[in-house]
Amino acid sequence: MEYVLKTEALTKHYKNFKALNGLNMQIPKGAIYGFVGKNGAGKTTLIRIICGLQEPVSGGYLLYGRKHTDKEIAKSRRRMGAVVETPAVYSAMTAADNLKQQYRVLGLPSFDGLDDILKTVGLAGVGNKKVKHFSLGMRQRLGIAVALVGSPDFLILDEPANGLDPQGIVEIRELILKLNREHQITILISSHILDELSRLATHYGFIENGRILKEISGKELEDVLRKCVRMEVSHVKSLAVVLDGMGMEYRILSDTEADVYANVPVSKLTAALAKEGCEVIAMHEREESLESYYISLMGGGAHA
Amino acid sequence: MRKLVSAHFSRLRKDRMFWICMGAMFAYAVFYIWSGCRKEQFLPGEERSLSACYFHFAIPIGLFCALFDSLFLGTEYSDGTIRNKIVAGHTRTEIYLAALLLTFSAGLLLMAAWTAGTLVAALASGTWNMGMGLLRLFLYLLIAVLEVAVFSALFTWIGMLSENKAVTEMISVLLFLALLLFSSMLYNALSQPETYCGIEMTMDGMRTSEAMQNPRYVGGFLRSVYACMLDVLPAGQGLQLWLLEVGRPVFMLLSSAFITAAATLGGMASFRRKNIK
Repeated sequence: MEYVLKTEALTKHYKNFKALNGLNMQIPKGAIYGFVGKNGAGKTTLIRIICGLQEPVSGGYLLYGRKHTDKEIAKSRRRMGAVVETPAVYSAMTAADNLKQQYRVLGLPSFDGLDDILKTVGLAGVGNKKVKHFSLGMRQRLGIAVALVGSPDFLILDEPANGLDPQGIVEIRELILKLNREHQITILISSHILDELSRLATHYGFIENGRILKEISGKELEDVLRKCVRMEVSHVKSLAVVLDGMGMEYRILSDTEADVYANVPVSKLTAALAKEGCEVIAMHEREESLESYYISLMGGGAHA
Repeated sequence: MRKLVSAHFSRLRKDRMFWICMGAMFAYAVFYIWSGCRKEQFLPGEERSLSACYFHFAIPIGLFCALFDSLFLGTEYSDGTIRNKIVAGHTRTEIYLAALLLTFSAGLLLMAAWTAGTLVAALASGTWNMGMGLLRLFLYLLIAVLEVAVFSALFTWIGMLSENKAVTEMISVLLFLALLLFSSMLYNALSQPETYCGIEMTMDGMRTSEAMQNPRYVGGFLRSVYACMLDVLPAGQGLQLWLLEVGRPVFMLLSSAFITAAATLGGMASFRRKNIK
């Protein structure tokens, strides 16, 4: 498999705080890599290091097969675009002027494709409006537009949905999917919104205390996430007795609710429960979410 | 680096603060030179000349550089656009040098705005005599250009290391004011006469007393140190240019070149190690 980015025991300290602690990760070409971790886990530090904003204390990384200490690393960086934390745009300029600035920074000979980029991110009609008058969602999309100048094939997005309204989140999601599917751009995306991330990512990396706890593909995760039936009954104790008798795995949630991890033979189960004097109030098929997987991975106490 | 310089200059063309500084410098020159020339009309026997007022710009140029440089470079951090340059694969050395080139060029353009204002004032007052030889004029201008280079190097250093725009602004302006104040103190100390004569009232009327040693006079080795510092400091150079009292032009030029180079090398070394957010 071809990898866009590989990190090897990447370590970064800020005085006594270990932001990255021997982090290893791999981002396959063409993936949307969801980078998940709580605040202070090291997500943004890793992104800053990859972007060249900061240097690691030890360890290293390969960007398009080139080591970060390689003198030619700038050539690899030219193939990537990034939005780190907040969109990097001049607030006193218009959207088009911001893109022109980036064209100049990259030394592109003409402004060809500028209108297409604005169209791609849905900012084609903003005219001469200054960025300082943009909404947060528009700024976020402009930040992505600036990152897209020079047609990068690796895009890094740090919390792109932060602070956006539901409409803005949907727009950013559609944009990311479009960039990945239509332009074959590999995307590293860090996010706290796990539900949103689960709709996008093809690969996941879970980070805790500066280390990757688990790297998993979307397909593998799908297999791991267990399906269950959530049952609401009048007496959960009776339900437990019946399920034990049937040899089914379950988890009690409350006095009236339990999750059953098996293919439930509905008529057999309801008949057995009726015998115990227990009434079935409701049954729903459920699938374990990325959030519950993340929480179980973190040991149950942490939250994204 | 050419790409970064091109991007900086296109931004400069649209930068409101830059045009405000240019306009202020131009208006200041017109007002100052015109009123200066008019004042000279009332001094009998003195030939009217522009040089007496023209080099006044060497004092406020430092303040204008502090204001403009800190705002221009501070925006790179406050808007986060410095990240785009690094992600685009430019080295930190390139980014630093491009910023220095921009601030230095802006300083020279501010000088040009002053000169344009001087021409307008000269036209209005009818004073065309510069009051100094071409070689001396060239030398003075060269000292002023290197003074701008020193200010640019210092304010670029601050602007590239401080990520907070307001802090950058405050440090830059305070540094300029501190340099100006210190230079004025040095100049005042050096201007003290070695001796002074008092006036005594006697029965026969007033008479001057015997010459007495001035306790505020700075002499010996300390005088050399004070003079050297006044020549080295950019604000000190500005003061001497304004008063047309340049004594050691070559030393001033060399010291400016040295400070510019040292500040740039120091700034680049610090910027290379800097963790950017």
